[in-house]
Amino acid sequence: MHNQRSKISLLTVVAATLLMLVCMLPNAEAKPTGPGIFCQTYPEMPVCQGNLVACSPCHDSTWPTSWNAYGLDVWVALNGEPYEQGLATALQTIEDIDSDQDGLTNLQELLSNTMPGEAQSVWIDPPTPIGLSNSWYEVGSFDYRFAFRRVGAIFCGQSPTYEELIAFEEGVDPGTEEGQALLDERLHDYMGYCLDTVYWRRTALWSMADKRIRPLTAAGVNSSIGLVLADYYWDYYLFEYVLTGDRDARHLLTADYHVQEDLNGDLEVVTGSFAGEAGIAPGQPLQVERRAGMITTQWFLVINTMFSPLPRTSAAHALRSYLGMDIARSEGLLPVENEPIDIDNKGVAEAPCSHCHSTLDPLSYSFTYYHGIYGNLTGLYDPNRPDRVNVEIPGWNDPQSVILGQPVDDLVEWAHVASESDEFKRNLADMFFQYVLDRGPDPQEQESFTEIWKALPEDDYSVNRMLHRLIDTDAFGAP
Amino acid sequence: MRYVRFIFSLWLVLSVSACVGSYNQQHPTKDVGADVDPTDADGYGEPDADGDADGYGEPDADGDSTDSGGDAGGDADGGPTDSGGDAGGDADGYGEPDADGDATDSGGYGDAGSDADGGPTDSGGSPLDELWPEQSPDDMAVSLKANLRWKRGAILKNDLSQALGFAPDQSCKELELFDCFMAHNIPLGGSDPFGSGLYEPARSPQVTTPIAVERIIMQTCVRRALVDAVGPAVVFTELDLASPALDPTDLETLLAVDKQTRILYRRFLARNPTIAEKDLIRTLLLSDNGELVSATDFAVMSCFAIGSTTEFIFF
Repeated sequence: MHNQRSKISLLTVVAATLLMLVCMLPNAEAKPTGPGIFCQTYPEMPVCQGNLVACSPCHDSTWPTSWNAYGLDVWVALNGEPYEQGLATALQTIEDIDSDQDGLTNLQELLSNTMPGEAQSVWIDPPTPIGLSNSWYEVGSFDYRFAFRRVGAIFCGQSPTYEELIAFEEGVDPGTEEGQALLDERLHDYMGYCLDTVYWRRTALWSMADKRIRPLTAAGVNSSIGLVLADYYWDYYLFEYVLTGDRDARHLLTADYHVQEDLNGDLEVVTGSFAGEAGIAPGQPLQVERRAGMITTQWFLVINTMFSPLPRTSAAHALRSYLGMDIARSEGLLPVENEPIDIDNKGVAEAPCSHCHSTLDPLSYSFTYYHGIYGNLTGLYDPNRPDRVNVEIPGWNDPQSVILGQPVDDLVEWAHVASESDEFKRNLADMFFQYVLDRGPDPQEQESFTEIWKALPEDDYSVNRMLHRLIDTDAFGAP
Repeated sequence: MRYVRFIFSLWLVLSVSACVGSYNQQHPTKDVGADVDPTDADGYGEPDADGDADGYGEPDADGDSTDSGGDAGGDADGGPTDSGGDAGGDADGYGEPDADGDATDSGGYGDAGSDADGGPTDSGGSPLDELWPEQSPDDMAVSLKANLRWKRGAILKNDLSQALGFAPDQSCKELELFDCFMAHNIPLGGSDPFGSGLYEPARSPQVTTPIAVERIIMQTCVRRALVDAVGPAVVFTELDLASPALDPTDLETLLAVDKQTRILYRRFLARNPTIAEKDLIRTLLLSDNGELVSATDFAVMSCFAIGSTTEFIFF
């Protein structure tokens, strides 16, 4: 009886405490500075490697603000201390707690790249393979036959034939070092062949370009309603060109040239500006010195900027496509002090909006000088754009552009900073990893994944070389 | 009825075993190449340790006495057309025409193995040229990583076309008009950026995916059988597709069926079948009602059974 009464008393205290916390919470709000502090505290965590953690580890929602179990523990650990000053210590204080009661501590979850506040988000290493042996595959370790077949299917678009498999293993004793070396050489020879196939260049790479280019037939060069605003094939050709032939992948964001298909179907570089014929055969009219690869093509500006005075959509899409961070998901938040200034009076300084716009607006200022859809100026750089009719921004004072915490003078510099960032490298590797394996890297694969994108400078930013590294991983070749 | 079947089966096993014994006595110099087991009756080179694991004890193929030397992979079935050291390198090895329209034959990578030049497996045979070993599920090492990929539309189209010897755009037509892979693009894991603005494909197979996959494989198998029936056959080279009924008690028929099975396994899965798989395909010689099936029906069903395996659809 005494025990029961004690339990009831304890429950009452816990309930009262929770009630008190809940009553206090609405006065708090999500802080966009949190992700930056988190990654300063845990730079080695997978989620901070070439990336900036989103708000989701702590928050179920940033507006109205709500916390998950981990976020609540952080809040309690803050113990009333100002957020920015106390967050790092609070995070470390609760490392050994299992906030979501899924059997793993918060630190273990962060190291595994799972959510410490969501019980359903948990990683358990797969058990070792069962059974004594497998006559067909090297289960659990790299298997050249398995990898060879995958290379064919993924990069050539067609699995190797029986005859090709025989040729691949001809005269090889896989049990010897020489045999392994020979298989490795053949595997990479085959890979080299596949990376130059039409399938890889036109089907696979183009499919990766789709969501970045976002073609719209009705407004493209094949418009059935005669509404030709720009030609997205320029974008596809540039994407394909830069990511093949050992070229420098940074040109995705820094190319000041364009690429077209010649009569033989080969791609050739085109320099200079060419206006095309308005409404019929769009060209690439943008001034050469104002170009920034994929994010300043005429189509990119047409489909993203359109009629926006301050092209936030363009900045967000560039960030999402080439740095792998989606502002709409509260990713990549690095708020700039005193932002958003709400230069165009859209009300973005209000609490529900400022959370993201303190990062997004400074990202967008550089895009303001590039016309979206604007008659003969479509896709052109125009220093007077903020004064133009229909896209004017009264009170425009050329606010400071900032990307990844770094002030930049214009979009060309914006793109340069982006192309040199870890975020760009990681996103590039992630784009191909996701395509190749139809999933992201799991916690056991994080280390090799990180090695791949960190080697990009060593590989002269060649995607082909990066992919040769990728097929050597267990993620690719171990059944 | 059950006793009659049992007696018939026993008779079949004994009589075929007798044939094997007779054959082996008459062919003491049989090219066993990479055969692990010299008693291997079917000449496929599988470790047929029991002498005749598949129970039918078929004599090695055509009894082709001209089949000397080249068939290093234990492939003793070369047949009359199997000349010139057409060993494991010519994986078809059965003498079926190489100019089958197979997409990979036209200048693709690694064609070295597909010609009749003696091929890479002339010297000692390849493990791939044997029947794949049987392994008990109890002791087989099983991967627990689930590291498999779904063969989405474009790859499935190419692989299916390659397996059945069609040009990719000719393998399957809905209503004889539309490319099946276009018609079922989305369930097959494709995207449609230019048409409907679907920039990203589904992340995982949808509820209609299996239906679309099976429909396409079935239709392509039917198409192949019909085209081959008119001739010249490209895939179903071992069957007389005009035959209204295949007799499972007929030795020649069983041999043809086994050869055909091997062709299909090689074309779809780039390997030889196991003994159990070979035997399983033989069961398609009878319908669910126990009736004989036509050669065309057998061709279609065996093609469908192998082509719709998870092994073909995932990689």
